[in-house]
Amino acid sequence: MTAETRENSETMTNSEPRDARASAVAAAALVFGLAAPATYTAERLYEYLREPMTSPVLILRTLHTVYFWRAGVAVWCGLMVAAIAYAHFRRAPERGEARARRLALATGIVVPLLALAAWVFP
Amino acid sequence: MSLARLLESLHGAIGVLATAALVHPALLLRRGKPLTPRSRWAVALAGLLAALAWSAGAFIYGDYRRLVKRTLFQKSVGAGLAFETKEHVAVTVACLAIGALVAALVAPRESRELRRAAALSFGLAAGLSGLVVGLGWYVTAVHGF
Repeated sequence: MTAETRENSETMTNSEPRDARASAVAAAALVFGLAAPATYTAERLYEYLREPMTSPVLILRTLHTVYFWRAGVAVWCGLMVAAIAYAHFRRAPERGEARARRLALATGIVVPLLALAAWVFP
Repeated sequence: MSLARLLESLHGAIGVLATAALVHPALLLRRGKPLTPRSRWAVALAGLLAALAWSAGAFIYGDYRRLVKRTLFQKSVGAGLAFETKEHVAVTVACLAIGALVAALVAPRESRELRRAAALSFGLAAGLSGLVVGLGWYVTAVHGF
């Protein structure tokens, strides 16, 4: 083995685990972008079903912290789901590209549905 | 002009900027090519503007509930509900943009599909951000600070 080949092979073995980790982090970030709004919508739908909406004109005042709690819980759940997804993705790094395609498909389907839910259940 | 009115205008302006900025990474990343140092800055700026627009809205949200919401619903229930939709969609935009930002910056050079997925997230975030801006304009036209 020449010095150049040895150097190339060392670079590959060093960069491969780093790339696999980076790939898993990137995919987990996309999962966060999907899981956090989905949790938010689930919380909102739960509130909607639990208490049917009264006429907003009759409400004198409501807590503004409800929105922040809802958003905070959604971000926390999104981070938890992303962490679980990261651990799962690290186990099968060779399937990175197919996984990214599936994530893109899921994003393309789920995000318009979330927007529709926000429109139908304001 | 009151401080709340000024902040409301700033929030709207940042929202418009964020909408325009989010289109750029969607176009940059659509072919999945690795980012140049300059385009990394553009992608980072788009994600940060989206987060800043949401934060600015969150900052004046308490005053909105206290000073605007009741009168807004009295003037037009449709406009009041449009604001509720706006706040829900804004969370989706911020989360999508931040997720896509991290994915675009961290993805390894050879992961074209990850960058394409990030481009789709940025594109959806841009579209929904446009919806948020439109709803914001409509609501402010009915009743603002």
